[in-house]
Amino acid sequence: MHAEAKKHAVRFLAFVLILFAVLKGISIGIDGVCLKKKGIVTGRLQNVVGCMNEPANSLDIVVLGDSESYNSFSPMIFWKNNGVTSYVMGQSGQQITEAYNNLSEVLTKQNPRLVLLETNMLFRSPAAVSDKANVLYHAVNQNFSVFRFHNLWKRVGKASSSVMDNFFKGYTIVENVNAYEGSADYMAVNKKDSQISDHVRKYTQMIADLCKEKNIQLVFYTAPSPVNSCMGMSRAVTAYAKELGVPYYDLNLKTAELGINWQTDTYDKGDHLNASGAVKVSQYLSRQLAAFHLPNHQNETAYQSWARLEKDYEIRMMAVLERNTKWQISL
Amino acid sequence: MITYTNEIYLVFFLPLTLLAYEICPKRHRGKVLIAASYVFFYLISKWLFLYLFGVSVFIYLAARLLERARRSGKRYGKIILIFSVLLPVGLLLALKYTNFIGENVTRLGNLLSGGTAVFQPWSILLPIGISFYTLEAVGYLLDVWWGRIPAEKSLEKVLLFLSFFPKLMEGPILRWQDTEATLFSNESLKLENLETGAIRIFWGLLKKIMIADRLAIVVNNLFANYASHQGLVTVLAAVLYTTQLYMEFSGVMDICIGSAKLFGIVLPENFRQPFFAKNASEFWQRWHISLGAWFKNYIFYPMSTSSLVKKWTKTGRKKFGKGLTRAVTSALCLFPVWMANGIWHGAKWSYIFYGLYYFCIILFETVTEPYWKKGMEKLHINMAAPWYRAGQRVKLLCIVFTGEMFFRAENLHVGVHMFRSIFTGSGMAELKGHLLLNVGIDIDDWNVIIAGLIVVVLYDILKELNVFSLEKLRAMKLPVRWSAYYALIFSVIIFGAYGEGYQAIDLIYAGF
Repeated sequence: MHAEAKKHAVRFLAFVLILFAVLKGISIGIDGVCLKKKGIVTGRLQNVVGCMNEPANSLDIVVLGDSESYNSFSPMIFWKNNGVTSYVMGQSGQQITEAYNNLSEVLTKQNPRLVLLETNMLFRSPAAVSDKANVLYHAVNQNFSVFRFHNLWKRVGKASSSVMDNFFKGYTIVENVNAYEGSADYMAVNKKDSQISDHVRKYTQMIADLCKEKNIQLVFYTAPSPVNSCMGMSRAVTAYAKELGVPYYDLNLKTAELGINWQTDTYDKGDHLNASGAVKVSQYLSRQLAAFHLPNHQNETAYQSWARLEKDYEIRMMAVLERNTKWQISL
Repeated sequence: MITYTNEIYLVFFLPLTLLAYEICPKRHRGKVLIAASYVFFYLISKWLFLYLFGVSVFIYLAARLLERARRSGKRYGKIILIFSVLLPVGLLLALKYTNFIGENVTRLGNLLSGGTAVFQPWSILLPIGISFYTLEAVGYLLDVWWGRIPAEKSLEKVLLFLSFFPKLMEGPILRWQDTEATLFSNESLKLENLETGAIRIFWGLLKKIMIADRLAIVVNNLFANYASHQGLVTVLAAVLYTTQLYMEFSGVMDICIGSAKLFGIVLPENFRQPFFAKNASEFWQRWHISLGAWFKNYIFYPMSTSSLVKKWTKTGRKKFGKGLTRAVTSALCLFPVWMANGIWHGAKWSYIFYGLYYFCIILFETVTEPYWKKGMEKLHINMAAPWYRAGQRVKLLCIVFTGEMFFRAENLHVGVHMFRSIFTGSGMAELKGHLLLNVGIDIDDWNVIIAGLIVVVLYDILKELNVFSLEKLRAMKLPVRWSAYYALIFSVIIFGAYGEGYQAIDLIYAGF
């Protein structure tokens, strides 16, 4: 190689190495310092970071899914009823690739007994090329937090977010009511493609394999949602859950048993549940999941922060109930 | 979808294409670029890439026939020319304007007959970049016909010329003779080109994802709620949209030119500090240069030398005097240029208005220029004085901001409403009421926009004065150069409006 060309090649490598070293350095700083600060991350990554910040091996249930998950599953009810610790890692519009990546990440720190997967995301599939890009994107994101959390500079020097006052292990109380006025028999109508794509199957299988490897029980559930659910989808998930050997709870078929009232239990015309709907779903699931004999931590000193948080949750919910007198729920 | 500013393109597509290009033998590198370009096209427009392929083969054959006819002096050459130009142009018009024409014919019919017919628009799929490569194809055919260039014997080269992925979505609009030297050279990757290209890409990303994508949120908000704004707020909407458009379009051009440079291919510049122009005419020599150059080469010049104009000039001078003849000649040559400019941008009356707006302004400038100069001389006003130049720029900015306001408005009616609203109130109450913090971005985003704009404006000033440019940065000492590179890269990574909390913003000119 020509001496000049060699010099240029060495310089180029040095430039790239320095770049990577600085990016990695900033990423380590973000992971080690910034993300530990409560409330610094808001928005879509809040649940993921919050779950990662939980003390090691302290969670019994991890919940995956899109907005249907964090609007239907309230960890505080599981704590109160069963002394079970759970965290909702759901994100708005979560893709199955994201769910897999988040789970892989959290399982390096946690050893839950159950992984609960809300199934609405099984019907969301990106284009093949986006999928490949997503894989790369996540690989980069996981190794270089500077990309994923590049916006953290906005929160530097600012007080902890007030969002955290209404944040209960990945669940946020939503008290708005915007009734669903459609047919109560919404499951009879086929609304959208009920096929689970190969891409989703591939990653769901990877989630199932990961759970199996770690001796974790994977459970599917579908939150009640007239906007998103139909019988075709229910059948597709039932068959798929059977194929994977995974228990499945389609709560759209249990709305009467749950006592869902679409006049009071949704905040956006049947797309998502509000706090009233979430309490009903969580009460039901906490009874069902008792069959998995999860440990009760209520008397363990290491879990006293859960008891304190549950108190905060109750105070807040009591205030919400006072404002919403039509809600028929008990805490 | 793939686009020049997302990770699919920057982290996936571009490096893989570079790798495939480099490991391929030199004689096959053109094929690699064609394959990559068609993959790029497929990822956006799916099977419509067949349209581009069909047009390319047609243009290739038509050019060969045209050259043969021209050399042998056959009369059918003109028929071939008309047919081969009309086919791609006709298809472009049919695909882009069918619904527009149908809608307006229906309206006219209703107006004349008092009917209430409703036009049902057809669902027409538009191949990406059609407005850009159609102009390139027509320019190539005309250049062959006029004997400026020989018809290309290699189909591969014509395919690459029309499909080359860095210019496919938004241009710049290529001329064969300006790009062939590097486009078909298939030279190996060079560190120098990689460095220059990569930095140009990051400079474009800074403009696009740090500034333009944040401004897009504000602009969308202000234009969506135009009816409730007046005075300064409407002016601000026009100023911010112009800034967004410049940051976005010139930023994407930087990415396109940088992408091509990675392969050692030099694409023509599309912007040259447009806001330093003295008048509207000069502005268009600095803004979307390749479009202006196309209209100049293939409409303005042929019109200027046409028998109609020559005849008029000859008889006009005798009968009507120099001044009026000059005015009519200018109008005859400029009108088709600006009408075509408006129509090219899309099937909307506001685009046609935009073209005619500049037609009127440039015609006025052209016709009055000699009288103005004389007047200034008589008044002993130094036209080179800084205050005079500043005045010229303020006037130009007013012209540009007004034009872009009509361009961005939902339709012509909205544009007129917005223009009127400038004079119906001050808008101060809205601004005092912290309007700018309620338009979708927070104070931190505004700080990034302002800081980014200061950097870009400073760079443009230094470039205009020929003191500094990205190209000159390469000649600087290593610590300075590397510091600048790192600063640029980290600015984009940390302050870019991407990822969580931001939505990807579509490229404006890709829609044309």
